[in-house]
Amino acid sequence: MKQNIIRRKVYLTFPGQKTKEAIICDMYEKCRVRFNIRSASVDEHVGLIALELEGTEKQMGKAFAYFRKRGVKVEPIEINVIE
Amino acid sequence: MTFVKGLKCRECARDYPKDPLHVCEYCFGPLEVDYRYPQIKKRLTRKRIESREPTMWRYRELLPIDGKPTVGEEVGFTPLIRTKGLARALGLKELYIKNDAVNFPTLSFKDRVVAVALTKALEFGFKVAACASTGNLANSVAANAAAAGMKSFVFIPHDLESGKVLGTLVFGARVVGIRGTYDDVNRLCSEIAAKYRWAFVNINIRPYYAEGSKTLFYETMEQLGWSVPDHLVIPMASGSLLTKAAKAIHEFRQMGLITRTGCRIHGAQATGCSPIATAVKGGWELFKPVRPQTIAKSLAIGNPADGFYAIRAMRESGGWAEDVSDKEIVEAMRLLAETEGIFTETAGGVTLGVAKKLVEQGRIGQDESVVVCITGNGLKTQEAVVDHLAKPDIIDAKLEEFDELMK
Repeated sequence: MKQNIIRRKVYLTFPGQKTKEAIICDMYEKCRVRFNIRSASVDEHVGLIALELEGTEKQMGKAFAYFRKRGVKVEPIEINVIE
Repeated sequence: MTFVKGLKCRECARDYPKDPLHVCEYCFGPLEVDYRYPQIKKRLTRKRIESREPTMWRYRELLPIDGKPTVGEEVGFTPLIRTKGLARALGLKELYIKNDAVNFPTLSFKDRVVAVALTKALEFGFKVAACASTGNLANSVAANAAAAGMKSFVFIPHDLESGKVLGTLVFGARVVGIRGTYDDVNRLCSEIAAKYRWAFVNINIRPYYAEGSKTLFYETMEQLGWSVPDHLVIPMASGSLLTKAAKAIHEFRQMGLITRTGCRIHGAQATGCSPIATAVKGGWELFKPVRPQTIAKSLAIGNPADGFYAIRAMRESGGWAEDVSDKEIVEAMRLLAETEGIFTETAGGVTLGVAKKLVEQGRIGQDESVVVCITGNGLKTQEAVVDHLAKPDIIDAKLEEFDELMK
């Protein structure tokens, strides 16, 4: 059965020490979720990348879990909405 | 008549129509309201403003609504108080408190942003208002939606204290507690906002909502005799309020309503949640998100949406950021109450605590004018001070017992 392809827009936050690792590339190799980088800002303390992802719901869940396992925070583009 | 051109991306300056949108499709940057300033300048004069009712809507040309205000028509124009005892305590000659702890109807500055958001939501034809909140925003959305005849949904972490939920439930809002971490609650709310056609005030209505904050500073400038103070001290949660201070000053200057500029804008956070202040003090361009741990719950946003822009606004104005411990927050709340008779919530303790610190550091000079923004009421966060106050003296109904106390 063909699964629906969904799109998600997220911000990834990399702690300073993680910015040297090719984590997005590794995610693609593991989960096969297509990605498109929309903006990126990285300095020695923190990296912030806006990413558009495309895949099945299951692949997406795997990709988010993989990012978190590698120490990268995954958040919706609205960032914190609880005020 | 409307003075709004549309929305514009704050990052790439791409134009968008006047719709319930909040993020740029291309760069994910936040969208901001774009006005027809030359037309506003022709219409908005000091005299015209002064002739209007004392509410936040007296500056309506600079707010993103097309028709008349329909929600929160009485909001704003809170007192600007020139302090005596507090100024003496801090060693300052000219210290003011802008007191939004008495804002109408729910005693916080959130009534300003919600009034604009819901007026706009009705213009868009929304029937349901929603937000994700742990306190002031929830109260304000629930109350203003009720008065406007709208339904409201409020999303909260499932384990929030019952006292805080009461002030929202009383207005008939549907309150939904979400199990999971704060990150989970944030994620789910963004998903709900994307799926349901509701006015989620701080998500899809955010560009309009945030504009309401400017009125706090328009009022301050008018109350100072159409001028700016040397220093403004502002609490920072998402950082939005601070960026709107800079925008309000810029707009008033552009409209010719003030001539003086040079106001330094300082940001205040609690040490237990100070991503923006830490970045300013470290000279960083970006901030590092944190896990909040502070009694100042209304400022406990670990990954603030407008943090980057707040850092830039402080830097451009020559301002600074500081943070204070929970102990300093309580001390500042007591100082304000005992010197000026104003009971503020913990966020007010943060702002005043930081103002005091900036004076001690010499960043605020003794002869300079200072406005400290108090944005919420102490009656909402009584648990923060309850263990720090003296207990009442209990006596029998006998005069000699009272005389004994007086000795």
